[in-house]
Amino acid sequence: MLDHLLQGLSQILSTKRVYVFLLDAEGEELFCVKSVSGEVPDFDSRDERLLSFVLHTSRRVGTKTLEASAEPLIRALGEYARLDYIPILNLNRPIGGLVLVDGPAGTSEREFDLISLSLTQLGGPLRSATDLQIPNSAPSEKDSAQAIRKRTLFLVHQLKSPLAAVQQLLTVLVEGIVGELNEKQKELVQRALTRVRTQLDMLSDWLMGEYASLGIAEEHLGPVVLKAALKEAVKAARSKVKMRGVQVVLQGLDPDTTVQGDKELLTSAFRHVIHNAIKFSPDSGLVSVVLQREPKGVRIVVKDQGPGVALKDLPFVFDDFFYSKDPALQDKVDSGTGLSLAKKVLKAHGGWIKVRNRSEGGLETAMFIPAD
Amino acid sequence: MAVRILVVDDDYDMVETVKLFLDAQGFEVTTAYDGESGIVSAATAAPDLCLVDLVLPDMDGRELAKAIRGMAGCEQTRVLLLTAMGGRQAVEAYLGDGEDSADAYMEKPVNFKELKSSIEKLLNIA
Repeated sequence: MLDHLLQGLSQILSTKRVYVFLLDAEGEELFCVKSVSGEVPDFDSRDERLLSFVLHTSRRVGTKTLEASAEPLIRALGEYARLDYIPILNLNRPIGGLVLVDGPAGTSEREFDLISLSLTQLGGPLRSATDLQIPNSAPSEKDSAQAIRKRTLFLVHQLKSPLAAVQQLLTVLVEGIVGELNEKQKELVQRALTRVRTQLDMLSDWLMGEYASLGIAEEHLGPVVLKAALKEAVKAARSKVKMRGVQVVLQGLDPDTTVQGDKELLTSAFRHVIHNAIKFSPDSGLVSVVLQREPKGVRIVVKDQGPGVALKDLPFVFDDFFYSKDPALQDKVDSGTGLSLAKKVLKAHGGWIKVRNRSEGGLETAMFIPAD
Repeated sequence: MAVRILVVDDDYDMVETVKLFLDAQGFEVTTAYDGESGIVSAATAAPDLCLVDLVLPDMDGRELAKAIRGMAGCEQTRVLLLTAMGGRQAVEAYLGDGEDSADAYMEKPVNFKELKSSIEKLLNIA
């Protein structure tokens, strides 16, 4: 049955990159036991994030029921057919977790639901690819990047306008333009202002992320001097967060290091990563930002001395609107769009971003941008 | 003589808060809530400056700016476009190529200090 399932999925998704991994009983190491292509993917068997992803999916599929019709499955598979990496879920919990994975990219809740249902349904006689209607993925004029940008802008405008008005009403109050408030009134209005500003920032970040997902617009593509972009990002990050004595140290800033890209998008991505590092740092902590030239590009590594990311959260830190539910961190969480934006921006530039917990404590975020 | 400013936006709260601030600064403020009313108000008030929302119910802000500038007595009127979409790049992406009839753009929500600074710069006043 498993071979049948793998071949079927490979046909439907038009990829040979369908693998079977086995998680050992202790949950500490992964083994690739089958692949459609016959090749074993290059992966770290003890990769913390991959293990966390597998453990999470193992827990989820165990409770999933067979309720959905084939339509959501077909749509989901049609969407995934465009991707190089398709995360698929646990099949058999009693042996410790059997997962079909093509990359530890992390999976949204919706993807979990749809894929787990598809696997359970496909456990029976497998339909051939010709029986399924895969949505036409050829872009139409309607879906051109420009048209999508325009629709996205209008949507954001509609969402932001009422919030902008609320912020202005509150600002009029707190600045005493219509009379002075007492201290308690001022405090409450300030708190309301903070909430509104966070929502507005979230919408702006989301818009920027959507833009990045559509690719870099040609008119915005040019040489980006990374030293200047990082300095600007640090300055912008400082203006948005209470520093509490946290030191930000920039290293390896060669003034000649440039990459081709969108300066505004890259600076925004850097700002979010540095902002998070400062925010989660202890008082008087140290955040280091190191720029390293490599043969194929440039790596930027941001390290902090904060609490790091819980293992169970690692696969999701780059998801839209994800934030930690840890009660101890609730005063630091915000819109949950910063890292997802950073990922979209780096991906649009042909690069990547990864996080890992440091053995000495804190988080390390590495970003890579290709360059000649 | 007081500086005359026309504020055009279909959001009543936005109009009121901006008017409250501008009144407190000593400007003479008139208001309108759509493009057609904005044109009528401009014809009556001959403003020195218009603060115009980009997206109005009956026209976009750049069209209104062009219409006002084409009226007798308003040829020198400055126009500051307000938008919740983002900065100039966002506006250009939304409106596409076309005549840029605004003197400046500002993102909503408006920062009152920046608004005052922009007004002073556009009108060359201290």
